[in-house]
Amino acid sequence: MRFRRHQEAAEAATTRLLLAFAAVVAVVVVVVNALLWAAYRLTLPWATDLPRLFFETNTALVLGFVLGGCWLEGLRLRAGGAHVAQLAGARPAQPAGAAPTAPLERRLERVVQEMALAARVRPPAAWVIARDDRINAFAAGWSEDDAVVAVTRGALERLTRAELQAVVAHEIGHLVRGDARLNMRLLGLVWGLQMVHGFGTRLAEADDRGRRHAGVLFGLALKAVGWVGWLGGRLLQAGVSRQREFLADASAVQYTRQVDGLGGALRKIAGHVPAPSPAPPACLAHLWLVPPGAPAAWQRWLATHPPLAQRLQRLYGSEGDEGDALPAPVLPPPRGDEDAPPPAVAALAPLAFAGAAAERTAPTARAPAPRVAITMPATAALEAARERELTALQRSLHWSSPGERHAALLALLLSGCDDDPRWPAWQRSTAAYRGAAAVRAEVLAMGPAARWQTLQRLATLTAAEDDRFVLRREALKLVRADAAAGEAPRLHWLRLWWLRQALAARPRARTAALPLPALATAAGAATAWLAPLLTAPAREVAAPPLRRALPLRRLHPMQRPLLVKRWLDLAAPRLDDPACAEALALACRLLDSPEPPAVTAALQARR
Amino acid sequence: MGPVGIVTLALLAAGLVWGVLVYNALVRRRNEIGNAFAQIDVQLKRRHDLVPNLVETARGYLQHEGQTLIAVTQARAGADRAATVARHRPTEAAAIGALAGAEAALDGVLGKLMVVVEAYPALKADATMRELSEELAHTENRIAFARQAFNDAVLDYNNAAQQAPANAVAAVCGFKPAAMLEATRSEVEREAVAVRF
Repeated sequence: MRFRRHQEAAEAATTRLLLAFAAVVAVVVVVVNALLWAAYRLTLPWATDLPRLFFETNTALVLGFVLGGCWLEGLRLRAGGAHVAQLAGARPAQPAGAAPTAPLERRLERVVQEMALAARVRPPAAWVIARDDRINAFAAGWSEDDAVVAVTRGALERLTRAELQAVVAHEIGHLVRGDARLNMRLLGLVWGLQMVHGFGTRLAEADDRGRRHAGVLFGLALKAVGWVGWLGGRLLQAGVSRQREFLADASAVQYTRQVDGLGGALRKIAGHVPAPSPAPPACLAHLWLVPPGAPAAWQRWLATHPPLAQRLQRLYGSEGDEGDALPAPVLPPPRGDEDAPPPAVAALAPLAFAGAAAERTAPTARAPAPRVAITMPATAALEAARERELTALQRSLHWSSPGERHAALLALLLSGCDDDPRWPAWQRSTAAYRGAAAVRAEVLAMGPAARWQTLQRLATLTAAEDDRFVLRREALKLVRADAAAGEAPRLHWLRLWWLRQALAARPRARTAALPLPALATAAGAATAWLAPLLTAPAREVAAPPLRRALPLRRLHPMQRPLLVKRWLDLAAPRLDDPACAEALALACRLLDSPEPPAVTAALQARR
Repeated sequence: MGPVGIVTLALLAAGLVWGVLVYNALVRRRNEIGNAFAQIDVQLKRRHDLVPNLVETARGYLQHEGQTLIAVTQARAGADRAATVARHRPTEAAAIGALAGAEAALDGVLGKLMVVVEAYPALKADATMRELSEELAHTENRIAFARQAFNDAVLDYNNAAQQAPANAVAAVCGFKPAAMLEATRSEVEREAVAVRF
């Protein structure tokens, strides 16, 4: 996108529209003068001369209405950016603190500072609209001192750093060009034009005694002129607002030097179905990134924002399918080092992205982040491991014969805590299948996230087959053999119970819930058993052997989420460890309780 | 005086007014460059201030890497000096060039230090070290955007000073074109490319 050209075009269009606006006001003044002159002539035909300063007074009156309305409207919202932001339901960002959105708000503050540097202005205050799941943002403020940029929680959670940066850049673009002030003034002028219409209405309506005087015709004419002027004013104001949106889009591209940031954000907005949120007040509609309500088709000319499709087309040019909507899932929370900024900017400060760039790939940026050479040992090993894991995953997709599935599932059952190549019991169990060793090699090459996915997939496949009973028995035998040797960690027990449950013969029967006194004991026993795994997975020694599975299924359904929450609190500092995350996920499945999102995120995270 | 005289006088006056307006616009743009440079300066100073903390934290763990630490300290001193010189002459191409060179050298040695840190997991996991490298990464982000803003300001100024008819005023009043900061490539990348073949 040639942003400078787009910026110049938008500025020129704005100037044209403002001139047209001035013309509309001038036309209204002239027509009102003409009407008054005609009225004067009609009502007082014997007068030979117009009164002194006739036209000047009329002009002054009409301009007084129009400009006075503008001034009054400006007074109304002059309370400053913070006040307007509060009207929209925002609060200042809280980067410190233990709230789950604290790292996201920290990221927002940093992004706002970076974009303010790029725009050469003082950083505006960063505010957050905490209860809004939509992806949106707005800017408010009359000057640099009280400028505010507010972003919804949906935008914080669902946009990548690059996209958030582009959204903030768009809003700062609005602040730099004074769009809030311009829009306020135009709205005020429109309101002033509406006052002419109102005056005409008052003249035309009957007075208290139900009589109309000769001014009715004049009043009607004034009403008509006022209405036409007001409509023209509104259309022009909407046109100016749309041009300023294009200008802000081009400014966003200028500050971030990439198109995919804003493009990705707009595409996610197009594809996102938000949870219901309270609607913001309509008087602030023009300050947002996209209009909060959906405008009707006939309101196209009165729309304050151009249609999303048109904005995407301007961003990406008229190339094929890049304007399609993107899904907008909630992304995992940011960790210490973030995605690299676009290559054009990263080239200006190569240090920070030397190490981080090799470990991450930015999914929406088209150009790859700058890579440091492969001669560095740490990243070389990482690259090789990643390649190997991908190959293993691809090969695992082809495992469909019973022998392969058995070998894989048993290997997955026993893997993780100790990748000892011996596994004598496993070898005895899979002796009948010749490719078992190869399957195990693939399983051991996978990382924890890949193993979890493969385990789920194979268990689902096997649950429909008749040979699953053999597998259940074999799995139990293996873990018991390990336990007898004193080497069965808790994770293996959890996996075993879950596998047996997943491959059961028939759907689980509803078991009677435990009576109240036994509940506390059962929950306590379960927590005590799980605690070493959740709090210190690296130091886990073999679990004491159990005769039967924990009575988790007999807990009352209302108790289960509370128990899960308690486990999550216990495990929170260790959630990075894949064993801990997997244990929590398995425990949730055994409890038949939904998995907390933090656990899903931890399972999907790459090492 | 006759109508011709009045018209000539009016034209001259208009020309003078136009000249003053153009001069003011050029001065405003030149000051923007100074301001943008000051912003980079603030972020560079922040980076220069972080480096000694980094060196001290790493010194405890990296007893055998004395060369690297010395190189970092020296590069930082060099960059500090170049920044002080350029602070007083932001539109001079030579000063900016020298600063760019010194910063590139600092980038290179800091990059080497980061490579070394990767090989010492105890140091990498140290909480202070993590905080410092996070702070360094964010300062680098800010430096990048500040440089981008500087380049934008220089572009605006050059456009205004070199387009006709304003270039006449610029030539008369001594507005020279300013130099942009070019993209830097770290020493590590340059070396690595050479070694591969």
